[in-house]
Amino acid sequence: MNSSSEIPVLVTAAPRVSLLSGARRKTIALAGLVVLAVGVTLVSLFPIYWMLVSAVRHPAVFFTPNPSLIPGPFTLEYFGRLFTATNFPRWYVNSFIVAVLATVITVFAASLMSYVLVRFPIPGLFFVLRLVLVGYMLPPMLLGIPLFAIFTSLGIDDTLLSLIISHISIGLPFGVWLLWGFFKTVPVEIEESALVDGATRLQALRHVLFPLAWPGMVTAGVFAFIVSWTDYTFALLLISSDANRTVPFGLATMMGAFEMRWGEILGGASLVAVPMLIVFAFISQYFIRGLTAGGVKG
Amino acid sequence: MILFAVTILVPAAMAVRLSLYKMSTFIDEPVFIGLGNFVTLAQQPRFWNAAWNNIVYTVACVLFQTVIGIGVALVLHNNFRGRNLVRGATVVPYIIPSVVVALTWRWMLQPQLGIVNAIFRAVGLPSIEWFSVGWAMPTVILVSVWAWMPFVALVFLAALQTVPDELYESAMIDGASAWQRFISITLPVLKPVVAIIILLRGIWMFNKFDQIWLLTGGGPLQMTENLPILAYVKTFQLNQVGEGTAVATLSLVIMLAGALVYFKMFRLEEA
Repeated sequence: MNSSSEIPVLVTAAPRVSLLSGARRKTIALAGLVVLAVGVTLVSLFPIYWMLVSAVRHPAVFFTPNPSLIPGPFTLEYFGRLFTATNFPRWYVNSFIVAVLATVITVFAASLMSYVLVRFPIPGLFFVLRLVLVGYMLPPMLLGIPLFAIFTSLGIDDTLLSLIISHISIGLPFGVWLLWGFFKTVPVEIEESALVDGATRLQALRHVLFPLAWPGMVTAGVFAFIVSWTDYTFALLLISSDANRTVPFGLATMMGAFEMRWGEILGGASLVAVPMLIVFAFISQYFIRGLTAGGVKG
Repeated sequence: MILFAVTILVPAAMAVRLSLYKMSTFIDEPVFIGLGNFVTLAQQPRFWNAAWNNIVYTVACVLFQTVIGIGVALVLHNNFRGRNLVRGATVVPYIIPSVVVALTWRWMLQPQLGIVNAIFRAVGLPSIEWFSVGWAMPTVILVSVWAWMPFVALVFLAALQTVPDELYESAMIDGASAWQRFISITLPVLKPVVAIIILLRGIWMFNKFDQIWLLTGGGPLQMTENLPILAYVKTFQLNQVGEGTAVATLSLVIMLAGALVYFKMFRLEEA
C-alpha cells in the first residue's frame, strides 16, 4: 500500500504543449492537490469536530443562530445529566456485552467453519456458503421480521441474547468469507508436515494454522465488533424495555423523549464515537485490509 | 471428534440460517391469501411512492459515491506529506455509527440553529430548510454520500496502487496527457472494481434503513420513505405484518431484477 516510488499522478500532469512553463504548472497542480486534500479532510472531520464542540458548549451560547466555530465556553453538565437522568450507563454496558460476545462467538465459529470449508471441501458446501453471503444482502426487514417472530415464539425477544444471536447471524457470513480467503492461502503442506511430525489435527490447527491466519481473524473480529456496536435496526426491532437498550437505540429514543436536549444527545453520540475512533487509530491496518477485501456492509 | 462435530454443526447452522429466510415469506401463512398482499400493495400509491424513492435514493447515492470516490482516490494516490493523515481522516465518516451520523447531521442541519445554515448565511448564501418537503431527499442523499463515499475511495485507492508506475512513466514519455493517461490506464484498471463496487453499494443503499429512518423517519409527507421503511412501518406500527413482509419481499425482487439487468448490461465476469 505504501510503495514510496509512486508517481504522483496529478502533480506530474504536464502535457507537452503548454502556455505555462513546466515548473509553474507543477506548482499550480500541487496547490490544487493541497486544496483538494485539505477540503476532503475538512469535510470528513468537521461534523465530528462540531459534535464534540457542541457536546461541551455552555448552554448560554448553545442555541444561537450564529455559533462560534471556536470551542468553548466549556461545560460538562450535559454529560452529568446524561448519566443521572437517563439509562445511558446501562445502555453502554449492554452495548459492550453484546458486541464483545457477538464478536468472540462470530470469530470462533467463522474460524472453524472456514477451516472446514478449506480443508474438507464437501461438494455443495461452498454453494451453501455463497447462499449465506447472499443472505447478507437481504433487505433488513426480510431478515428482521422473521427473527423477531422466532425470538418472540422462543420467548427471548427483548433480551440481549436475542440481539447477540442476530448480530452473529449478520456478522458470520462475512467472517466466514474473509477467513476462508485467509485459510486458503496457507499451504496444506505446512499443516501436513506438522501432522507427520506427530501433531494432532487440533494441535496443527492451533500451532500452525492460527498463527498464520491471525491477521485475518483480527480483521474478522474488528468487523464483527463494528457490526454489533453500531447496530441500530435490530435493537429497534427486538428490544422494547428501556433497561435492555443498546447505546445506538437508546440515543435515538432520546431524540423523541427530550425534543431539544441536543447537548445530552450529542454528548452521548460523542461517547459512542470517540472510543471507536481511538480503537480505529490502532487497528486501521486491519480495518483497511478488511474494507478492501470486499467490504463490510454499510 | 471435535472436527466431526463441527462438520455436522456447519450444515446445521447453515440450515438454521436458510430456514430463517424461508420464514420471511411464511409469516402470512396463518391465513393463506396467496398473492393477496401483493395485489393490495399494487393498488397503494404509498407503495409506488416508496419504490420510486428507493430507486431515486439508490441511484443518486451510488452515482455520487462512485464519482467523488474516484476523485478522492486519485488525490490520495499522490505522494504528499500527511497523506496518511488525510487518508485516515477520510475513513472517519465510515466508521462512525449510523446513529451518530444521523444525529450529528440533524443538529448541523437545523434550519435556524444549525452550523451549516449559519455558514451559508455568513458567506451570503440563503439558508435552506433541509428537512422540508423539497429538500428532504437531497439531504438524506447528501448525508449518505458523506458517510459511504470513503469506503468507495479506499477500495479504488487499493486498485490504483496495483498499477505499475512504469505504465504511467512510459505513457508520459510517449506524450500522453494526464487526461489520456486517466482514460487509457487508470480507467481500465478501475473498471472491474468500479463494476463490483457499484453493485455492492447499489444493494446496500437499496436496503438502507437506519440512516434515513433516523434522519427523517421517512417524512415529511413520505418524501423519503423507501421500501425498508415502509416494510417497518407496516409491520411494526400499522399492524399489517403480511403487507409489511410483502413489501420486504418485493424489495428483494426489485433488487434482484435490478442486479440482473446490471449484469446483463455490463456482462460482469468474476472480477
